[in-house]
Amino acid sequence: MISYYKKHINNIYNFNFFNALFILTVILNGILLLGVKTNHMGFGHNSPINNLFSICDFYLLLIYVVLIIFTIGMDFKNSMSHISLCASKGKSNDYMIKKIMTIISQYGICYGITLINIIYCYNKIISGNNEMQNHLVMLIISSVITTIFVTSMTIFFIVLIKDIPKTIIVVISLYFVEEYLRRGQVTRKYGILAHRFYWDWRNMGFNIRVKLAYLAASIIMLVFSYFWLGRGTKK
Amino acid sequence: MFCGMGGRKMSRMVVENLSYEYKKTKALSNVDFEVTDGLIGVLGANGAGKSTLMKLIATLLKVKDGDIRIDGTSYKEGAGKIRGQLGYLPQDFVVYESLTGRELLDVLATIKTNYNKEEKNAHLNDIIRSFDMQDYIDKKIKEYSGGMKQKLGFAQAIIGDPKVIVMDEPTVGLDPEQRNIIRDLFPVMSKGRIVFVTTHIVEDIENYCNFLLVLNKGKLIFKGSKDDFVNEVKGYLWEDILDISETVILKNQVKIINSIPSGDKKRVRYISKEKLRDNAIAVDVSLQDAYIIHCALYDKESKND
Repeated sequence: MISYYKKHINNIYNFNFFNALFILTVILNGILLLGVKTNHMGFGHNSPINNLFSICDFYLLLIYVVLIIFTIGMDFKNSMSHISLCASKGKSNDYMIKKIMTIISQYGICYGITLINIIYCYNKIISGNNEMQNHLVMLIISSVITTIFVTSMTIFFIVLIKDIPKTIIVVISLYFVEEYLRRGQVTRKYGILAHRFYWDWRNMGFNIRVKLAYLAASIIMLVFSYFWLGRGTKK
Repeated sequence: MFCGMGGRKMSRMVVENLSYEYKKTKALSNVDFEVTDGLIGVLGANGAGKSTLMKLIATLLKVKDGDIRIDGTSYKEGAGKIRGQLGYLPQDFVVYESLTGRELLDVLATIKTNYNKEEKNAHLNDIIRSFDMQDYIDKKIKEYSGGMKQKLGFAQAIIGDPKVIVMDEPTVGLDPEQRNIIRDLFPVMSKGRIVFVTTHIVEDIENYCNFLLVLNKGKLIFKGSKDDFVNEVKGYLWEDILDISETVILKNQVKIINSIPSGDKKRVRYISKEKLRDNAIAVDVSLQDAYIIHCALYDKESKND
């Protein structure tokens, strides 16, 4: 199913997005791995390893978010959302859900490569330092939950607003507002969202309940999106 | 394979007391009818409620007041049970222009059917042949003319051999030649299934429809055969040659359908239950005339109420 819809999405854009992004991810991760292996790269606030993780994770997510918005948003602009809904066998829009699942699965592959690489590099650098090992767990939980939240939020808003430019503005601004709130005095303690790992986090504390609240919000948004996709009316 | 005659029993759709409101605007009011296989023409002016009725039948709007049933399955049991038995051609058929016609049909067949690859290809080839699209089906949709695109719309609606097909204004925006080509496809589409065609152009359905539904301001003002539709208003259409002052007087008494200049006078056609002037002659009522007369009579009755 995934490979069929992957080909279909590539045909829509007349460009093999997924292969291009996969190659980009592999190259960036290769550079990261090479840097760690050859130069014994350190891991700090402004270290190359941290910045590379940002590129692989944060920027890659933004690219996929935009891809979801365009791929789904175009269906609302043309007749495909209605035609495919009538053709669906269930309560929701099978066609659009399968396209979303295809994009997420492709992002999942790129994200997985990055995550495994980061864990490998991190372990290579810290070699048995328990305090730093704890930071790695924080980084992984934060990154995974943020990724799930931002993806769910994107799907939720494109299904709700059904308009590409408006959704891009809403999702990107919400994302950036959240990212910057995290650095503000009031909310930094709880780490609202986290993609970039900051070395001075070690004194910030980590509130798992906040992360779980984001996870719960993500599930709620996905459930709403599923049912809203099954309704044919345009706003 | 797709024409639906392969032993399938006749489908029956029952619409009961169907009403729909957009916020505070009533779009449909207590619509009732029962139809079986064949081409169902849905006539009505813009804003009459045609598209709302079609969206309800196509499960794009949720049935709240009243009910629709296909072969006993109620829409209120859930849209999921109905979808898959439906084909839909929206009013503005716009799809991905970078795809080829075959790629579009293929993806819709993948969603709609459980066929394996060979069955799916055979089914699509059957449809492509029936609509005579072999020459351009592998070209990108952006290279298609309006008529070719609309043919593709018909082809996608018939995928999976649905029991019901809904086509919302399928001839809008086409030139007369393309319109004729598209109209000629109606019999192919309606063989062994219920096909709804909405239009405000009477010629679109004049020669093909088996059953007629006429909507006016959200209400169903007629349901039945074309012949009954015309016969009901036979004797209501008159023609007379009048000068301008007489035309003005007549305009205040009755609804004038058209007035064509004829020398220094006008050849006027008007709707009236009885002959108003000695020179007036009764005119044969066409389907288009009947539509105008029915709507005029309904508006008059509504005003009197």
